[in-house]
Amino acid sequence: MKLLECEAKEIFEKYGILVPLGKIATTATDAYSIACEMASSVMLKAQIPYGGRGKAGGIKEANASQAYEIAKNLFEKRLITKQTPTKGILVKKILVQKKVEILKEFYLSIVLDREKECPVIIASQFGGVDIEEVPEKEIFKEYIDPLIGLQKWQARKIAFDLCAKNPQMSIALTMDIVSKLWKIFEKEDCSMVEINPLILATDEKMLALDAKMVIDDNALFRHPETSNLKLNSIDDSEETRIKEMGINYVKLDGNIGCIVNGAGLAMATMDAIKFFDGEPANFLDIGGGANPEKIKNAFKILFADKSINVIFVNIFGGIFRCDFLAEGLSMALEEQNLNISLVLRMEGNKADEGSKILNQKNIKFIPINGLSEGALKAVKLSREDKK
Amino acid sequence: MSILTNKNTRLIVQGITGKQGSFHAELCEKYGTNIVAGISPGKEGTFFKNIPIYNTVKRAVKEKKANASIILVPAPYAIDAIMEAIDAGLDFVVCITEGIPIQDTMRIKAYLKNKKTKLIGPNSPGLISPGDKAKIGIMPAHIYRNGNIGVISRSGTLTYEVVAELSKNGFGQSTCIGIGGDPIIGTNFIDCLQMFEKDKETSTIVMIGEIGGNAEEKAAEYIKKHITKPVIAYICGLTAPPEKQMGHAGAIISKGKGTAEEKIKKLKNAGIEVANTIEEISAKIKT
Repeated sequence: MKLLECEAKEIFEKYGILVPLGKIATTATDAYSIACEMASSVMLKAQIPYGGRGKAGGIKEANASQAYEIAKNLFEKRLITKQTPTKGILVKKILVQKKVEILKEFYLSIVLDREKECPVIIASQFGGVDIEEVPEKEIFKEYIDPLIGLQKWQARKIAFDLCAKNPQMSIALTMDIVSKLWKIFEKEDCSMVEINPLILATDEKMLALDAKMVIDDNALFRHPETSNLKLNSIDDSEETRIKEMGINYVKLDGNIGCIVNGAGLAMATMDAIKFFDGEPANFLDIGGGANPEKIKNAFKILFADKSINVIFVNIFGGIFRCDFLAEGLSMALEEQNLNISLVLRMEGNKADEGSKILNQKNIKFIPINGLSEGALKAVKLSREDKK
Repeated sequence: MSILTNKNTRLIVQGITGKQGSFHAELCEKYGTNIVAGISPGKEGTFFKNIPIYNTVKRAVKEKKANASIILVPAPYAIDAIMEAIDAGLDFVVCITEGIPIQDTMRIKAYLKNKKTKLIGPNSPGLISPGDKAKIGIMPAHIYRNGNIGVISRSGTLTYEVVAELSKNGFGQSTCIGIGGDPIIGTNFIDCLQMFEKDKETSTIVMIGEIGGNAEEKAAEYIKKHITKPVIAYICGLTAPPEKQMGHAGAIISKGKGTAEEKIKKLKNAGIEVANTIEEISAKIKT
């Protein structure tokens, strides 16, 4: 779960990391009055849980007299960055932040290193740019033993590295920020936390000018207050809505819709379609313990996708019940007529019961015995329907 | 023989009184697995079917000489259950539970160093040795046949598909092991390859990989240097778009890394046969 910058900054403050003075505006009038209050130049920062805001025009400098117009423009349109869904995200909150005089920008983050199987602190004296653009030799890394956590010497090492060419910086302050960021990472179950840029201000204080936090969804049971933020999430994209239903779905460009049980089999199904020169319209893993209601929802997602002209259902039931699939499908068809072909492969757990239900309800489908046979059939049909 | 599990396995089920635990314990036992105890704190002295229940893993080791465990407890309690099993000195622990916080899994991995216990999973469908009638997992037993193909996979249902196809073509299996779909797992491809190489009953190894991470690339190098038995690989996710998680927590192409193309290329460069489709796997097995 990606937090908004303002949500992450609230957590930063709770742990004692300084952030610039800022307030949330939900209307352009709000933005104007906050800017007046601050009596200086402000940064208007669109709050969406995706990166790349700056380059997409989601972060603007303004004085009080400009704040209303600029905020109004930000609120009116969907912000599209390189990381958002293609339709972009509607801006509902703007962080109005007092402009800070910067001496120097740094980079500091903690992420999980999948290969070394532990957290890693990444720091650089080149902040404010994408860390991918910083040369390798300018990046300092410190791997953390997950059983004992960050050690003092490690925080000290990072601090000396960062301060080496910046004598005006305090080792103690830098160590303090590294330690606090580690505490956030560990206690809040982050999969990543990033300050870019971490700045040294003209008053020699160190502040987090920006804040990124991703919380491990699997750990949300330990963080009820963070889970609550999710309920008010402004991410209104279709994929997020579907994820909430417990369905793993990724939209693709093709015309063959797929419903499969299991992630690996779902990928193999898409690959088989492609192998026979067809184009899958989506990845959809319905999971092992799906009930008829969830299956109905999965079909409805595909019915709503107008680019789909064939549906290929590929089920190899281990725990998954094929009779539930049949029930879910018939429920979906009660709400909507199907005018495209349905290629159906049902094998394993309660497959006979499933077929019986489909026959009883007079549901038309093309029965198939294997994955390749089904993929080939679906590809053929997708071409015929195109003509 | 087979790998990890065989006739001598003395299994405990952690979480046996739960919904998943009781359901799968019954299926495993029905298949022939020797379940010696169940663990459910506070319920010692009671029975599930005819399986005695103990409060702690240590008690089951002492009373029943248990040497392996299957974890079927919900994600919030999984780390605790796994650590208890490791501390009790079991030979191996199979964690079926999906959705364990990744920082928990990292801690478990660090804790496992210098311990004798092998961890399979988390987010694994388990393992099965058809010849020994030993099933420690949630897979549909009827598709498996006794034979000499060793199967290693990161996926569940995809493995069922592959195994059903192998069985249909007359290729039975020595052991099939699901190593789990999470980004961080216990036993990996290389550990399993090593075990299959030593196993007299296994003549050919089938390795099923997917996008994300670099476990397949590392396995390719290992196979080239250390494995003498034929290996046939199948990698899924050629059509997966970048930066999207494809169901499994570990299945994501991140910053251009972990693509199926790259994995297939590395495997082929190492001289390993790569099947384009699931049907092709059987066709590539030399008898």
